[in-house]
Amino acid sequence: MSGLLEATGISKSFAGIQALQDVTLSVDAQQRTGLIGPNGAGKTTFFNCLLGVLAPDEGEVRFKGQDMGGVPVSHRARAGIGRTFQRIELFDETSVFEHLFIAERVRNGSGAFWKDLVGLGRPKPAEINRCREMLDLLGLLPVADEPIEALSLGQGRLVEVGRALMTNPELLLLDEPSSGLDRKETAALAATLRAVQAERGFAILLVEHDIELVADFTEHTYVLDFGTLIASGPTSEVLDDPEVRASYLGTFEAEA
Amino acid sequence: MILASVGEDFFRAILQGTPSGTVFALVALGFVLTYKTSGVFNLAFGAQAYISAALYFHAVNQWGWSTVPALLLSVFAVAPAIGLVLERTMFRRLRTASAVAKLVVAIGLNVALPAIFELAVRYEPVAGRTPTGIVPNGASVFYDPFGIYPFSRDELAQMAVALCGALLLAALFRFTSIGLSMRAVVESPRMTEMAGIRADWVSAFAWALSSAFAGMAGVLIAPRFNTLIAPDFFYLVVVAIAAAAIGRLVSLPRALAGGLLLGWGTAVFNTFAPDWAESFTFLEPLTDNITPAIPFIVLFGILVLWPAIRRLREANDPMAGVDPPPPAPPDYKRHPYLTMGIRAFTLSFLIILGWVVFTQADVRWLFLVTQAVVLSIVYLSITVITGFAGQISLCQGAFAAIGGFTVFQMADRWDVPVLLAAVAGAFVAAAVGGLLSIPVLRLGGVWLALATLAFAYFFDAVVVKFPWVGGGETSLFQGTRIPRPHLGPLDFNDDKAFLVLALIVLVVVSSLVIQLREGTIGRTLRVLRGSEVAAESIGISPAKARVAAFAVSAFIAGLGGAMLSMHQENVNYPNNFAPATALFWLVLVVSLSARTVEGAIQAGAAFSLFPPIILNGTILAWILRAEERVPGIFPVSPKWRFVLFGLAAVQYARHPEGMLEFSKRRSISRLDARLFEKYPHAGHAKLRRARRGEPAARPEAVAEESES
Repeated sequence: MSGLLEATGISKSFAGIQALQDVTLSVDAQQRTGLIGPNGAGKTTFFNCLLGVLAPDEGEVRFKGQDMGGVPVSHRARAGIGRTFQRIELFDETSVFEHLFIAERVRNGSGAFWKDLVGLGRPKPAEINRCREMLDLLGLLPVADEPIEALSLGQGRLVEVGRALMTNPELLLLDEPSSGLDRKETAALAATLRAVQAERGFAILLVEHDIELVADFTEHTYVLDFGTLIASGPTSEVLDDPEVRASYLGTFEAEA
Repeated sequence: MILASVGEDFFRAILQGTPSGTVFALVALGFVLTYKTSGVFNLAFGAQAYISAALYFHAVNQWGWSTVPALLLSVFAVAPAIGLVLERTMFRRLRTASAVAKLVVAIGLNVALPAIFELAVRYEPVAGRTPTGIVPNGASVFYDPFGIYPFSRDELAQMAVALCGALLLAALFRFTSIGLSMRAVVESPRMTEMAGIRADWVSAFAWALSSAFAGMAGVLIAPRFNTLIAPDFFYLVVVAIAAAAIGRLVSLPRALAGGLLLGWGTAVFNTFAPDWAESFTFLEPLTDNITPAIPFIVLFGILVLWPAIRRLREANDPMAGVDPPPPAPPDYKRHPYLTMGIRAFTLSFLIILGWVVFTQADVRWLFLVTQAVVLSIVYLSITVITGFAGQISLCQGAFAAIGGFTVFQMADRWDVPVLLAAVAGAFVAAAVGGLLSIPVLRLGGVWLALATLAFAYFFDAVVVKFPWVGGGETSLFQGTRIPRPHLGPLDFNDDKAFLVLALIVLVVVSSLVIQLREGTIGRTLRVLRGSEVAAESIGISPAKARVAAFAVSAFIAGLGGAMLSMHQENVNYPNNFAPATALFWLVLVVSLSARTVEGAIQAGAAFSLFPPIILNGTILAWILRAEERVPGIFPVSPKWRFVLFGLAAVQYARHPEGMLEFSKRRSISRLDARLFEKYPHAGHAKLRRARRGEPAARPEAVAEESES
């Protein structure tokens, strides 16, 4: 099979510590896939290998059939991989609108230098409309012109999603979107994401901690532990797998 | 035979380079000590060294003190005290600030501290009065232990003291508990904190100690300078950084080795370079002038060829990571009437000012006002690179000088019309800026600033000396003369006509800068300043945007430099564009406002009009309507501007938008609240909540809205 994103045999070690060992993962178009694992399982390392922040020691990442080896982060983004951040990364001292606008400008590629010089660099009606549509979809329209510092964490997450979606990604990587949010906020975020995905049709790879969110949100799940893949398959089956329960969900069960 | 003589020459060069190498090592040791224990790149080290050296010299020469008490005062009392005060009052609060903010603070101090000292003890550098060393007849009595190189007594003293300093430090680290704590902080600050050692006390002690090292090095190196002036000591600190960078900034012994290597390398180069120059005559100006530039070339080379050093930039502070500074009050939320009112007021103020200048001003005032306008153009280059891109470039003076020299050369050699030459100069500067930015861009932050500083000094020491740049020897006698431009019937020899020209250029450049800010480049840079990783995640490539910013900034600087040279009808490099001057430019612009066009214009006015109007008491005389009623403290020393703006720049860490801009925004928002409270407009309530740090609205409310 050939999915949208194919990561094959990814290995990475830091100073002798094997962070990832032969991890293979694939995401199909329009699918919602989860990647779970306890702290220190290598989720973030894997994520960074997908995005090009880190170069894997072995293995390759293919996106839409193209080898992404050596392709810098910004080019991967332009190829159609969007992302959000675990620790929220917003642009200080700008408005919510501006977060989306700059992404739109990069996407449509109309930001030539000479246009700035003759005053053609300002937002155009078509671009403004696209941004407003997205803000509307995410329910952020009322705060569009607010300084980003005035937003709550939950709203900030949504701004990150909106910013990533403005680049028209085919794959959206969500890095622990529930971190820092309470249950209610997480549920609201999931609902919004689902609604947006239904309308725009992109694939999601969700790296998460929060089992409830993964169980509720994803169709397919991979489980990492100590840098190796211990299970993968449809979410409901994976979460019932005894090995997964033993290594990771024991605590979950006890809680529940 | 040849080999033997080369060997002897080499050995002699090593001996010759040892004294300065040991002093470099001393400064490098102190530098690494503060860097490792408090995460501060203390560029104010040069100023501290200068203060000790000048105080020692002043005490011996003016007050007639003998060596020992003068040393005790300058090196063992004042120097550590300054270090302690700086640590306690400033750098301690900067723990969470960005590396760039710390750098700006240090640069501000570097401008303010020497001026404060000179005002405090009424020290005036006298040209040609060579400072005395710590031993009598230091420069005239020689010893020659190996029979090939005679050491002066000063040099012997330098080596002996530096050796003692290094041994003292080693003993301190090995045998005392505070030394052990320091070593622990250096090795692993987090573990140290967990073990119950108070890292802040350790860092205070380290500051005092390293400041004493800086002071000692200053006193030792002083006899090498003809005149004791502050900028020479800034050179010393860059040398120390180069030495520290050779030692990769990680360990004290390596810093020591780096200092020695630098001293030896320079001496070896001096010995052999003349032979090479004989074979390649075009290199002659190089060998004459490259000696002072070697540390900068080394530093630049290390930074560019060994980019791994930038990874150390986060090797930061034991206490970092708590309480980020509060965000600046946003300035784009205010009532439209208020904006209109402010614009109307500004416009009428400018019209009145213009009327006064064009009808009332005499030649001298016209000159100063034009200079303010022209400098504003130069400062807009800092607005672009520092304000928009958030990068500290310390070579804007070199870019401006490139503009000036291009006009000089083109007009002098080929009779090119000067206005055309000015545009060409701007393009040359842009090309140099763009090319320079490519290797240094990967560095970012402090390292970028250091690389640009190294370039500025390299330009100063080497490039200017080439005949095809600075005009060579003829320019020494005739100056680098530039005629004022002619344009058809318009003759800009008339001062008012030239002022009009300068104003037109300023308006054009300002609107260009505003267009950039509102356009793609400006937004891209703002976003990069906010979060580089996030910007990359939406497909922005940081390098491209920053090369553009550098080139644009260099273009504006080049144009401004060309205008300044035309205005003064002379490039006048040492007064206008030397690295120390360019450092003050940066301090001025960031202390006023680096992010707005008004900030640059205010900085231009501050540079050329602040001393004659405010410090001379002219404005007071005008207000009081009588010169004789002006209090006796006027005219105030022009050094006060260094103190005022230097200390204002120190606030950069808390107010990166600029002190003046900050107070302006604050008063406007207060005014806004007072005037329009009754008629609230969108955003008011939320803004106030945001300023108090409360969340604006319930997140689920927003999420629910989206669901419905």
